Amino acid sequence: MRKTIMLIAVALMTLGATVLTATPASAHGYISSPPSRQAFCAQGKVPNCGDIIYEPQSVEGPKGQRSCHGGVARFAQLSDESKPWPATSVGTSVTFNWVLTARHATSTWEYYIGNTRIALFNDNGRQPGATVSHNVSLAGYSGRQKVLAIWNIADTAMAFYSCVDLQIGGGNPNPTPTPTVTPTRTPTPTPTSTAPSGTWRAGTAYAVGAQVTYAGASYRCLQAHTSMAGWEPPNVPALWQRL
Amino acid sequence: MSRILANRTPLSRTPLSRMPLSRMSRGCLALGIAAASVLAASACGADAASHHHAGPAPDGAAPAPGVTTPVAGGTAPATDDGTEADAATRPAESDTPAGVFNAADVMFLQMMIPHHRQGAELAALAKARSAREPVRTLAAAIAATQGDEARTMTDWLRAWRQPLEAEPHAHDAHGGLHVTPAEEAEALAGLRGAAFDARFLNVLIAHQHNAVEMARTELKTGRNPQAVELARRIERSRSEQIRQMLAELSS
Repeated sequence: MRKTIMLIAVALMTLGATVLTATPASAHGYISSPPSRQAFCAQGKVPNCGDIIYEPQSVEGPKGQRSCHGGVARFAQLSDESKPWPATSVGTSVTFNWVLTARHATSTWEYYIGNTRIALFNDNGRQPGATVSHNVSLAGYSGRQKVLAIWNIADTAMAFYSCVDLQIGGGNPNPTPTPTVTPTRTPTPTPTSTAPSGTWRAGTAYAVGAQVTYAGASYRCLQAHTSMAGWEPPNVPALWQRL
Repeated sequence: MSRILANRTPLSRTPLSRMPLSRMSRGCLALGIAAASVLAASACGADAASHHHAGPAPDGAAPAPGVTTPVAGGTAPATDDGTEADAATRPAESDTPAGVFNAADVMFLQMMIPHHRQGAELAALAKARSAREPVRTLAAAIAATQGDEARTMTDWLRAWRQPLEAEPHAHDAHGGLHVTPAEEAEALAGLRGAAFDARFLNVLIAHQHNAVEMARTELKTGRNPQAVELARRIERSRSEQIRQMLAELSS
């Protein structure tokens, strides 16, 4: 009897471990502003980033590393210094903001420039809030610098890695300016127009009353928005009324 | 355990199900916990229940063993492997005339509905608080579309005669419910202008990342064509929303 139970226990433990590792990574976190390298990749502002564009929150590697990709081979592009990583201009201090998709109990948050740890925040195993911000002094540094941020998880051997390129104390960080992000506005639609104003396209700012055609049908915009894949008119009745 | 476990999880086809549950629960506390975690994980998706632990069945041969329902008109489910054991233990709902679905579909909808509602509530905060017109516009569109989608998903679960909510902690093995804590919404409600925008965007970006992850799980494990198509649209639109919000943060 006891032997049976032990066998069952072992079987279940094994099953449990397999289930837990088989579930999709619940992912985790990265620095959103100033934009980290993975944040730029997820926005499409740096080309050929590879897999990281789909999951900027997943740069999870064993603790103690000093690389932007945390030793995760499929994210190696993050450590490619030949890529045109934009640098964000900052003064003598900067506030780093994290996007957290899982609030893991946290031991510490570390910030490095080169081999020097410029800041350490000890959470003593606490669970972080929905967002985390750290103000870090950059005193003694100037010009272009790469900050490596590390989120050390309290109850696992893992950490999350995020690199942020900064231009400290003035100077032109980027020879060519990063493109502005404001979407181009469509011409003001004429509400009285009866003819469709064009074929629906992703990436267009539509105002209330704008009319489009999509798959042979006409629609009127009910709610201002910038269009995107997944928000095609027949799929989002909250945004488009079929005419 | 939950109704969904009792009715839909293909226990009879897993090695686990051949173990006497009553004896297990008498065994020891750790054993009970282990059993609970396995069952919870199984309930969270057909992937965990079938692909990895269904024993000798070849991976991919039956994406949704035992939990498919006949399509309207009585056509035999394509995924049914036709064994007698399966026929004998097919869930009672198999005559639901609402199309084919599996436990992963149900779990996806059960997780997505509260996630959507909360996202819509978060987004609604921006109207009176954000200093940026693009943020207010995007948030209003998110609130409107997610409200719609939540209603659609609720209708599907009702048509399938499935509970609208899973048992508490049934999603723990998937990292919890992926909802943003209520206290965060309260904190946001007290902010205005730039302070609101910075915090709001980071919270909503994380929230939508989680929606993308749940949608990807459904794309891999779901069976119902409508739910899978919704997951595809969620994955695309939320990825684009994240892109726009990241751009707002850095502008």
